[in-house]
Amino acid sequence: MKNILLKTAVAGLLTLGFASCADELNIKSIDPQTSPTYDANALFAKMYGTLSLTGQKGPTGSGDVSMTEDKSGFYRATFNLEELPTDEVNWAWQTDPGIPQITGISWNSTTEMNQWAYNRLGWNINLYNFYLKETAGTEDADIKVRRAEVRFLRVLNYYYYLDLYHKAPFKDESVSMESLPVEKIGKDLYNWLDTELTSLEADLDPIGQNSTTKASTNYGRADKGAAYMLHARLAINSTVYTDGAIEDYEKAQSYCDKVIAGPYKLNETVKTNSVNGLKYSGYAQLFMADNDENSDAMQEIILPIRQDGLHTKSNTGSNMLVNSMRKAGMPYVGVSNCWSCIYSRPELVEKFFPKDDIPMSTVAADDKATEAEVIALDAQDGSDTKSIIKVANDDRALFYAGRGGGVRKLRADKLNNFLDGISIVKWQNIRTDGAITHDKEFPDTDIPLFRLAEAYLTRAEAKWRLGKDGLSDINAIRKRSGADPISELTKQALVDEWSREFYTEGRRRSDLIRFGMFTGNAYNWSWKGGIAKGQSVDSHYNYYPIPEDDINNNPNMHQNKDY
Amino acid sequence: MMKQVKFKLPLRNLAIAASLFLSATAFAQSGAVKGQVKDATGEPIIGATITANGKAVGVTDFDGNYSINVPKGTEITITYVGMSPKKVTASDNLVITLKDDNKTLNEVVVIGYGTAKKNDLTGSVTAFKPDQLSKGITNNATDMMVGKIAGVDVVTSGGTPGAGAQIRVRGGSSLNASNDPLLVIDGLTIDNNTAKGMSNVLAMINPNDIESVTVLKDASATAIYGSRASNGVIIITTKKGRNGQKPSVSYNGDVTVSTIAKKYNPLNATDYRSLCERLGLDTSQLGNANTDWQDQIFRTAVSTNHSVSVQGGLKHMPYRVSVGYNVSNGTVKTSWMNRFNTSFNVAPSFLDDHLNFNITGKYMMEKDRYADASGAIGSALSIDPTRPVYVDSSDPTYSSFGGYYQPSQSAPSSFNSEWKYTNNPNAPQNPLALLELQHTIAHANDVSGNAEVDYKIHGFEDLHIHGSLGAQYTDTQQTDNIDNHSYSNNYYGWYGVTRYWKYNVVGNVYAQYQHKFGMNNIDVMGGAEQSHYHRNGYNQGQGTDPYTGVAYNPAIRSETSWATHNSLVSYFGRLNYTLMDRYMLTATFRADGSSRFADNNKWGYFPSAAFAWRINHEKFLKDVNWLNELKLRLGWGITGQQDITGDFLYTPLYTQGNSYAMVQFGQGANSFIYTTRPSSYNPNLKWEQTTTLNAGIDFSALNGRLTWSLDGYYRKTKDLINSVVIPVGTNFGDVMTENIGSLKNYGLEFAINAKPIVTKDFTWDVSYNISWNHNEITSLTGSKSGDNNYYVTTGETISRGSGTTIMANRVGEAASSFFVYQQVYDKDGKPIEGMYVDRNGDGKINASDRYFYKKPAPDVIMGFTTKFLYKNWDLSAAFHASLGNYVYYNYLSDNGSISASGIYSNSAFRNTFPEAVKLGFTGLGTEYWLSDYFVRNASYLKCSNITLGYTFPALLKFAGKELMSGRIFFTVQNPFIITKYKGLDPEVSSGVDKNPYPRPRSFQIGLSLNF
Repeated sequence: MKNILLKTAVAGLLTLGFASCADELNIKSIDPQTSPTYDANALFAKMYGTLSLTGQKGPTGSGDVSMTEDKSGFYRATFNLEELPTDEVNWAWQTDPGIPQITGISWNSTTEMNQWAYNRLGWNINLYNFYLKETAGTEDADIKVRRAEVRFLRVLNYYYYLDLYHKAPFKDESVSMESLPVEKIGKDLYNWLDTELTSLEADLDPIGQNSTTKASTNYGRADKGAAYMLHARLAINSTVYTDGAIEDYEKAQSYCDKVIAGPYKLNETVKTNSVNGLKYSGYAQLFMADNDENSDAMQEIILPIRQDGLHTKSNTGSNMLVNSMRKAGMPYVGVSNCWSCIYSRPELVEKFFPKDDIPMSTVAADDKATEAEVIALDAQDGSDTKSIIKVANDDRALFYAGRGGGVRKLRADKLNNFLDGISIVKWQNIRTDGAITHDKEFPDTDIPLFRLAEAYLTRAEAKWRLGKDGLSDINAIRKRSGADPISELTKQALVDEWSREFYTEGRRRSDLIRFGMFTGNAYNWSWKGGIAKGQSVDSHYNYYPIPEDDINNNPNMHQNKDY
Repeated sequence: MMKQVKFKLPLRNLAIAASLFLSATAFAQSGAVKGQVKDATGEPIIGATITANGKAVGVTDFDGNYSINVPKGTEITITYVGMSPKKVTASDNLVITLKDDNKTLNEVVVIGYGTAKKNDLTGSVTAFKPDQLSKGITNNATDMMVGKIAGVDVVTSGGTPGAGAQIRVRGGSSLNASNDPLLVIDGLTIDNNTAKGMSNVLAMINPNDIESVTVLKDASATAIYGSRASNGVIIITTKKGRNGQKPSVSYNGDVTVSTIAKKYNPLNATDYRSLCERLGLDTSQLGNANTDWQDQIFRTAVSTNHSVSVQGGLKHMPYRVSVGYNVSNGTVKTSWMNRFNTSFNVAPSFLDDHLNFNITGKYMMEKDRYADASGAIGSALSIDPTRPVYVDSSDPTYSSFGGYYQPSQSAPSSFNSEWKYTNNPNAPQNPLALLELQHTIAHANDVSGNAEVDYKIHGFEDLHIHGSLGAQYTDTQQTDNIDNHSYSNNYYGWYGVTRYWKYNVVGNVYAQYQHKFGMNNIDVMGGAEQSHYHRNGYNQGQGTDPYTGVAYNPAIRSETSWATHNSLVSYFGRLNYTLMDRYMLTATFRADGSSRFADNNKWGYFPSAAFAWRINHEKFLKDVNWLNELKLRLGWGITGQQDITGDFLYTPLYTQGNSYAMVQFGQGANSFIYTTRPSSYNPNLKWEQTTTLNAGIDFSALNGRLTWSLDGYYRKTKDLINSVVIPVGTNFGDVMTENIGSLKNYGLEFAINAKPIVTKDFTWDVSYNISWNHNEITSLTGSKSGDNNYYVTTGETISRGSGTTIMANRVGEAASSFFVYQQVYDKDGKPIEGMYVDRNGDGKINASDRYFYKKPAPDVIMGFTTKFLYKNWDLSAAFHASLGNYVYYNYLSDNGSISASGIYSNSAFRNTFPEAVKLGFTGLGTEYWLSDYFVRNASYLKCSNITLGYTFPALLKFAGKELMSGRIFFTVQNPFIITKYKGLDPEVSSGVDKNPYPRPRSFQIGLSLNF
């Protein structure tokens, strides 16, 4: 009896333990939202999602990175660093962290907005490396094209590193995921990008195939046109990026030649919205909610970041662009959530109104005024967008200085109110065809990351830098917007035209640096250096600092000079 | 020593208190039989009870004398706590000597996988029984532990009805992994994750059912729990019936009135108006009211608690059944909790006590209404005080807010044209509307049970086999119904349901062999255990267009459902060896396999060894009669921690994107593609491992009138698990869970219990404990070699900045130290905004000038309880204190923007308070909130409670039996705090003082009855 019981007990103990450890300790995840394997199409879609989204839940909730999800998205993080310190725009909420430092050019290595961009680019690149490693050695023609696109996206993200930091924490798919990136600086990084672009261009879809045809099932994916345009953008900045070692203006021109020779067209077709009765110029249509369905607008767009109010929701892309520039009470607002953040600095308005004679309302609309009443009052004041365009004689003057939301100032002696500048209405969530948009809060408006006008203006500048005549290229884009042609191509004309054509498109800082006007005393715009009349800032602000965390974590990275 | 006997003293007091009453009648009678009661040392015993025929007839006085009115020859029994009862035949002038029953020392203490006699313990173990006289207001098991146990820091989590507490045993041993101790309730280890919709992981247990709480502190005691034991183990045992006990019924009930102890002091309307004027703001936009918004959200709340239990023994089957009902109303309006608990226990024995069962079961049902207290308090402090609470909703600008005042703006065109206005999202919200327009109701059900069987082998009784199988199942449902006139969900409203289920199953078997071979006493135990923990849930809901009925932003179940699980497989063993009743050796070993790690890291091994020396049993002390115990303990052991933030962090997983995060290629309905994302993973993740050394002395003398114990410990944790910022581009995330370094804790604990005065009518009892802990990070592996500046940011975010944390970990500093700039002050001692000390002297103020300054964890914690017993009255007070704990004064830093744009921006006013106005920071252009000026010393002394009680004997006589004895008491909870800290309450577990639900000041009247 005793023995039987003992034996049973011991056997019981042993079986309980051993039988279970095999099963119990090797249990797998049972979470329905995750899987140990991936779907190839979903993973590829995520590659483009790095530009348009911030995580796996729209608009927020499962962020790719742990930082503030809204603000650390690719487009918003780079936009902040390229636009907010410049002569184009300001951010009203000066109590937001980092905003005074960014808008006044006094940032340092712990400024969070700087870290958001740096970390997001690195996160994206790591994901591209993963994709390229997973698909290495493929013979499948479709996957070869996809690989070239992912390599293009990787170049694009490294390009931003080069532009913002003058260096990158660099690695490609040939090393392990855990290995520390190495520092690739200036000319080295430039050369790698140049070579890599040249190499990947061959595998991409033909120029214009993905974007100019409305029937394309690949609209939103990069083709050769996007790579050429990025190559031109890289080359026109060559002197800055390589500290003067390389001058690739010929290359810039030749890539622009390829783009302009492609199937793209500047949009000059005016369309009337049947619901609100407004006429929208070809230029205005590029930034509207149906810019991915309006074939005239699509012909100019080389590569968009796709956005959709229903299925592609984030707080980082056109949602930021449209909402941040609007205040409740403005007419034709198009969205339900106005952030009232971004407004123009006077220098932007002066690109269209050099004499500061933009028509403005001087009385606010009554709090209880309806949209129709505000529209009528604005028309009476001549301060609505339509009137401003007319006075500016330029379709690109998409400003609002009417009564809605309060009375605006052209320039202000303080810096904390959305009404301290003229409102910008270039980005909008309204369709040319008058149909309703997919969502009230999140715009459908795609962001044209590359568009044909850039090729004309880059070529004009390249020619000017090479001592050739670029006047016809600059006038081509002026003509499209109804502006009078200019007769002489000067540095100032170029610098101003870049702003007129591309304001709030996330590139102003690079343009100013290329003309030596960002730091130093050459051009002191309002609030540059943190004071109302503007002041010189030190040249080390031409590059952003490497965030303190990465200096802390990655021994290969060294801080930029004077930070 | 004191630890082990501490709980005994209250019982003794009770006995004295109860018997003193009886003595009053006894003395009055004549013709009495007299005698004296002494202990073994010849000292008179005061308060010994004399019973005759089952009825108390008297107690001994100050000199140990008694005088009882019974006929000579009657059999009387003399009892005294801690002594063996003695039966004698009554005759005059008897001198009765009671012997120490050694029960106190031989009291059985529940330890891991078995029990031990207190006297035989070699580790640092505190067994603690709820103190009936000074327990304070006890709605949860944790409430009764505050300040009572040396080395155990219990911080209740605020005033949310039913909320739990943060428990830290000897400081935290982890950084990012859980620092919560392992909880074992009636033999069942509990899943520490609190289900959403349930207020407290310990809610399943009615505090009135608790028999004892055992805290295992050092590794020699905890290592038997292996991978989950690094932060100590708390074993809770509920009350049971006794063999052959007559059925007895007891009732406990109380009524509590709670009020807030302290309010913040935002500017009133007049002061706010003048501030706005001073800042040049347009004050015509202010209102005409003068509203104290805090008065709108706080209330005086009445709560009540009732429980009834029946216990007894049907021959060989003791049983106990209890039911409890608790209605707790919070001091923040709308918040309440109702809870019903029931439990049963049966412990039948068969085969001549060879086969014993112990079956316990518990069921809890809870219903809560949660209030967003933190949001409401934040709004009450920042909303414009010149505005009224309610407005005339016929005013169209307020028409969208259900009659509440709320700054408005015109509605977006997407709303129906009748809905003309919506809230200005930049303005603070009406805090009362926040509470009243948001209905968050939670239901929770929790059922748990454990069945234990123990079989003593027939004919080989030294060996017994013990098996147990237990399970817990919880399901909760929380509904959020947010009105469409609310601030957060204006126009669309929100109706959503969150479900949460969890269960765990634990089974174990062990065999134990005990035998005495001459001077050698051996006790060997070995066994195995397997546990499985499972959790899942989902949420579902939508906003709805009030005009069209179309869903807005629905949360879809298929995209929100989640599930996870983990398992442990364990083998364990223990050897106790005692030589000559003096030298004791304990060795334990546990091997744990966890599903949370990759194959090569699954198994962890956790040994321990301890030695104890009963010095008072040595010859040279044997004759010292006043000394009851003098014991030296030495222990060593290794424990682990595997309660990390996820169950599958070691393996690559791909997260599916939802239908709002799709990527579009081309046009049309099929052009949207779901995405997938690899998540960061760390295949090298492994256990945290803590090595502990402990040395202690237990002392007890004068029949337990004085006991103390002293413990010193040193703990080193390696392979610390933490979520760290990783080098950019090295994994699928910018942070990852890693084993990043090591830290050490060392400290001292001292606890003493004494009865300085014991007289016939008056007893004074004090207990005091103090512990000092030093915590220091000793290595962080992520740093570059020789880089002393490497740090890892951590902790709760502060209100200013964007996701800004104020704490960091660095080698040489305490875990989660504040990482700040050093403030520069002007000649008047006023801080200069944004001006910091250039600590590294490089002429620039940048991140490398930040330094480590103080930490949230206290250096010293103390607990003090004093009790006076006078006849039937008892008066007690309990205090706890914390020294050297610092808090980030978030309220001041959050309100520190005293400038036109700080007070008024985007058409919205924001209130502040006098201290911030006096400070005068503008909030423009600087990260002023990173200053050490906001890190404040939050040391405190708190009075936990003061209780006055009256114990009464039987109220009724029925058929010669006295029925219904009991006690009535009055308690004040949280009557005062002594601190220099200016915030509401210095007791902040996270170190960042962010509008917590304030701990109430409460007044309770309670009644206990026994039938």
